[in-house]
Amino acid sequence: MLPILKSEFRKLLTIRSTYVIAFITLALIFLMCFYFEGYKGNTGTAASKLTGNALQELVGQAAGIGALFVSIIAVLFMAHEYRYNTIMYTLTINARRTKVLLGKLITITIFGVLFGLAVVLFGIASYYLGLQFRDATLPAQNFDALTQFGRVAAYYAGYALVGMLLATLLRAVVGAIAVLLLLPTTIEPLLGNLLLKDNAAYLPFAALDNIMEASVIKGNISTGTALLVSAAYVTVGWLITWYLFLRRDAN
Amino acid sequence: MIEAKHLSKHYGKKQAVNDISFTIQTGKVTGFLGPNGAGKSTTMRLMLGLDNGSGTTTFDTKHLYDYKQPSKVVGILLEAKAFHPTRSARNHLKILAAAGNIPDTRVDEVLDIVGLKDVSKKKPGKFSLGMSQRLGIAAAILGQPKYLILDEPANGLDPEGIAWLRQFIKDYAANNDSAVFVSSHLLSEMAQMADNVVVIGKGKLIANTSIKELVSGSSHTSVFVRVAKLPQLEKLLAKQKVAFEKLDGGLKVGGITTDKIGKLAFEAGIPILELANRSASLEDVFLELTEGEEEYKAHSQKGGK
Repeated sequence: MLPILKSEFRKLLTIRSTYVIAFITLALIFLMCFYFEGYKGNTGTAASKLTGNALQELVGQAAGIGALFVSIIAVLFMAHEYRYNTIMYTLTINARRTKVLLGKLITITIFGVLFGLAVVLFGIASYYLGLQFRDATLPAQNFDALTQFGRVAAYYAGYALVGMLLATLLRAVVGAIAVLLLLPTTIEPLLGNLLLKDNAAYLPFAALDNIMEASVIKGNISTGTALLVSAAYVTVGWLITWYLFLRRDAN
Repeated sequence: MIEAKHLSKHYGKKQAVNDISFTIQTGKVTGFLGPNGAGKSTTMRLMLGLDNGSGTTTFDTKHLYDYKQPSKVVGILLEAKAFHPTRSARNHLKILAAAGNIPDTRVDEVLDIVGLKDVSKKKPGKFSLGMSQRLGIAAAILGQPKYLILDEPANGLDPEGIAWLRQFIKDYAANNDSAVFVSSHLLSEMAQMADNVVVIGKGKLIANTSIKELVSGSSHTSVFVRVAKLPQLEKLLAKQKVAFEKLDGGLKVGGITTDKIGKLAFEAGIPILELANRSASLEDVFLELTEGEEEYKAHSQKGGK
């Protein structure tokens, strides 16, 4: 498995898009955490008002910004294999498809978690820098670091896995990104408003976003339940994807 | 030895590959011929397990997925442009090397072999087709595999590149007790390069034999004879029920050897001016074998300017 992981990480880290997307993410995080929340403090959030929940809310906001981007990196990671037909090398150098898919899953999960933690830490650092420029200090914080970073890790792993799942099923960059953009922002809120009402919080992206309490669909769902529902969606989705990955032609 | 057994694949109602079986012997180059759309690429993909169909392919009696390091067993070039366009050629190969547990030093070796060392840090998106083919060949030989499966590797190569590829393939099969299975539309190249040939048409196996046997068995293979008393020889051949036709002041005779014609003429007292075997070219044989098996057939223009 180690050679596969080494190869998959090289794939992720030797293309420009990974760095471009990471840069855009960090730029947006910096703009939000440094400028709006830290320096200006005019957004009306707990972070800008410097309450005891400032850091907790900031982490949620920063994580929410970067999640979609990690998902796009995951889409490119998988969909490029089909777009540029490198999948034929991947599946002949290691002819066991399950092993290859597992290697890819582990790679994108590790990358997603590290990316998420980096994004959030960068957000916190930017926020503190903004506060310095504003000459403000934070009061004592209600912030359980382990819980917060654990949520971030699960949230980013989830988004990375969903991005890769869509790319593996659709095998097309545009299609997978379109689904990623439309489902959480348009289709799920519409379903919520028209049909499901509070139960819409149990829809895939709503549940995933509720891990960080960052969903536009709030509903009555706890973080733990959101985590379990998301895990169930990801597991079932990946079981179907795994089956199809074994059955379909590699092109 | 690679042994492909009962390979079949259909797309909906269309049978792309229909119960094809053949073997590829070590120490030899086996050519893979067929008209466009005959199913050559699909057959190669089936052999490698990239496409799901029926049938099995074994490499020295084992399936590819039974090997711990398949990259040491088979190297492939199925498509010239199979790389990420903005990832450097070197990084592309380093990724494949890592996956196959091959040391990175081998990457520089293969880049040198295919003549891409100077452009190894360039992005291959702007490579010409010939350079892309060279990168594909580098990827194929990265793990020093026993077998090579190459789909149209000469496409886009310049004459020097084609000559290099021909020699490379012949040496690879001969030196390493390996085998190369190669498809190409350049029949003259194939004739110079391959020992054996597998011919398919419309997904079915047409021939699986040595090039020598294939050519000698063709109706295009004949004997040319020019004599001083042509009408006399014509009568003699007609009496022997041997088919012939007039050609270039002599006769083109089928189904008979030079020895036999020489003996007949000598016994009849006919002085021979010229006597030679005229072998069919691989192109003649290919066209003869695949007649009616073309998936896409072009027609000549009528009344064009």
